Amino acid sequence: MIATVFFGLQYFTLTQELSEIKTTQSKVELNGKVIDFASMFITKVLQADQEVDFETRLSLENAVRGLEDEEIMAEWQHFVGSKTEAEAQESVKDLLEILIGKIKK
Amino acid sequence: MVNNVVRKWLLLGGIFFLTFFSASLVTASDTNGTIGTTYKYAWGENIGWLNFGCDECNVAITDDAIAGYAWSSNLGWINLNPDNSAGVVNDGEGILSGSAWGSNLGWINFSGVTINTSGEFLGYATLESDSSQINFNCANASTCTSADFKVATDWRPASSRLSGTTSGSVARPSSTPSILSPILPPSITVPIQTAIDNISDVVNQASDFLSGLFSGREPDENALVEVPKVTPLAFRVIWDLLPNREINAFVFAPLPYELRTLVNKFSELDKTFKEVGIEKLSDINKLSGITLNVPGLADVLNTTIKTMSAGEIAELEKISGVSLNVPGFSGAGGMIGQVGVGKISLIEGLPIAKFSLAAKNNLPTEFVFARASGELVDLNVALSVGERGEVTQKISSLPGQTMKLVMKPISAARSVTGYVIFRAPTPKISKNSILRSSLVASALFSMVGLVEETSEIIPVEQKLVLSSFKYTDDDRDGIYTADITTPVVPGEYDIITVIDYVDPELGSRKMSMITVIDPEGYVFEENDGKETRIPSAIVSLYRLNTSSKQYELWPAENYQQENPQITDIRGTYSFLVPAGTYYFHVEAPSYDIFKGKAFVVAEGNGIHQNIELKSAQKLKWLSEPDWQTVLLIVVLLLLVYNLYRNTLRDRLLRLPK
Repeated sequence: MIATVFFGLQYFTLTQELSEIKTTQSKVELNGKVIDFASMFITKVLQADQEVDFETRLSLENAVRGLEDEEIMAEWQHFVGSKTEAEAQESVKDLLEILIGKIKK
Repeated sequence: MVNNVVRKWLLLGGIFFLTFFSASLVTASDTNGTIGTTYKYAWGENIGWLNFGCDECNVAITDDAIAGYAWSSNLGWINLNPDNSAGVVNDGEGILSGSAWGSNLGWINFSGVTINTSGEFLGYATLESDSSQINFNCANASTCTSADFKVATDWRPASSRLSGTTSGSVARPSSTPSILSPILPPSITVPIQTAIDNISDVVNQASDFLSGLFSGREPDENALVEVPKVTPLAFRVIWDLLPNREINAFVFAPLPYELRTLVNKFSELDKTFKEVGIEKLSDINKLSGITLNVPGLADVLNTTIKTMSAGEIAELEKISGVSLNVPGFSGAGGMIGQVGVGKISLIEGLPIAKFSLAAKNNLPTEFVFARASGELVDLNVALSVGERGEVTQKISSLPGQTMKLVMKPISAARSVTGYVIFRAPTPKISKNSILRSSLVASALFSMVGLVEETSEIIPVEQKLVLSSFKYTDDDRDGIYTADITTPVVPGEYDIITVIDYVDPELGSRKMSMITVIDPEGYVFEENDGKETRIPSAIVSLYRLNTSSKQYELWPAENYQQENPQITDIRGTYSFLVPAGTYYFHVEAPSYDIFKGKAFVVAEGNGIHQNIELKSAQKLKWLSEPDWQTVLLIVVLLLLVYNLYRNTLRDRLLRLPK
């Protein structure tokens, strides 16, 4: 009886720890994805010296969707749909701010 | 297991379905154009051969569009009419446009491809991913003699058809000449494994969908990624995505005006800044934690001594406290005779009044010099750079010390007034501090740009003014001096000097210098974590004689101080010393003698170490007995008692009965 209670408590505790670890792991993975996307955005778009090709745009689109973050997605779409230079600059600033903010979390 | 069985059956069904329907589809109808069996290859410069007439290609050409697939043995299928796009468009006259899609190739732009009246494709399509071209006819590049290839159809442009024909199709020849170029690739068919894989993918997707449906999970919206085939403006590198003007304004902003003034006036600082790369506003953070010692006094006075005659140099020896250190010579005293005009030397403690006329003329204007101990100690002046690049000057001294302030106005002044103003009870620690080696060197920092021009009303009245004083120029050499006593309470003070010029254009100008009054040092004993001050302790200060390499009692009488000092009721002492290496020796009744470690004073500065003395240890074990001592005493007493008893017993036994 005591052993059952003991192991039951152990199971409960370990389950809690496991869920916490999983949460942490998912956060770390998300952080990694955000960093990857931010890095790709900087190297492939901001540092581009020629038109960004289709494959790269596809990779970026996949990467941003892979983040599953509405805020980043909205700003990304705002950037892609920019009609003027000022609008694009503003979007870049906002997007970078959001990305850095996400990484800090 | 069950899944595997189901999947096998589905695969077999799929294969049957594909085989049956593909066999029926390869037969082109008479109303739509198809690709001939002989001329069906196009050449991609980066992707190789493309087959438009394979068995499963099912290319159908109408007046509106081209449907079906092309096959690349390297890169797979190319959909000529993808669902989410218009695909390849035909205007009815054989002029093609729009794009085909290959999952491994991306979009292929067909603008530039035409079908002539003979049904032959002409021109080039373009891969948008790498801008490479796909040649549809060897005639485009006149290479038919070496490689005879083209894509041909039985469809004809509307204008070239016979009247009454609704479609461009013409009767296909019953037999097509089968003369193949020797370099043409072998006939390519869809690998059966590919078809199986495709069906497997479909089954897997259906399975995923069903499992998602039953588990309540919505299908993943991210599975389909749509990227516009036309490059958005933001990706065309036609704009500066980063606001370069603002970035440039920050990155290339020059140093603040005050610092630029210093750099311009002080070549050593300019050199140092260039070496460490401090050239812009954004570089200021590099100053964090860095202490720059810039030479000053030696340079200025060396310039001075070079202009002095031998007689004037000899006069220097008569001044108490002045010493000339000449590199390469031993012994500081009696060196004057060996110092010739123009020799490299360092004069310490030369009073302003003894400066030559040239030196006085070279004295920077509108800067307050601070000296202590009868002008024998130059107070260390630190340059602090704030976060915004603002420059403040700061000196430190000890409470109740007499300090001589010296300043030189630009031109004739009606009056020069000073104010001592309280700033803060606790001195603020500056992170960025550039030490200036001496009073005169610090003067170089006090150029016109550093002096604040003020309106008629000087706002010092609004602050807590502790005292005011007047600068005087008794010898009328243009240099004003004032003797003040530093506040007795440690803290941070402002010494503000206001010059009222005769020249109305100069008006009234104000200079500010922060003065930190450090607390005095004290001698104490620690008891149970609390400090007890020790009065009547004798504090001696020893200075390293660089010539003899021996420590000697510092000659405080030359600096209007006492050494050794006897601590007062608060246990305090204070020394204001020039640069050198020192150590303390402290004695007090009932305490162990304290001999401190040697320490270096880089600039003229106050010494305010707190020195802890330990009680003499002679009878400590009695005053504070511990259990081990008590136990030892008990054991000793028992031994003595035992010895006494034994002795007594022996005596009793020896006695006659």
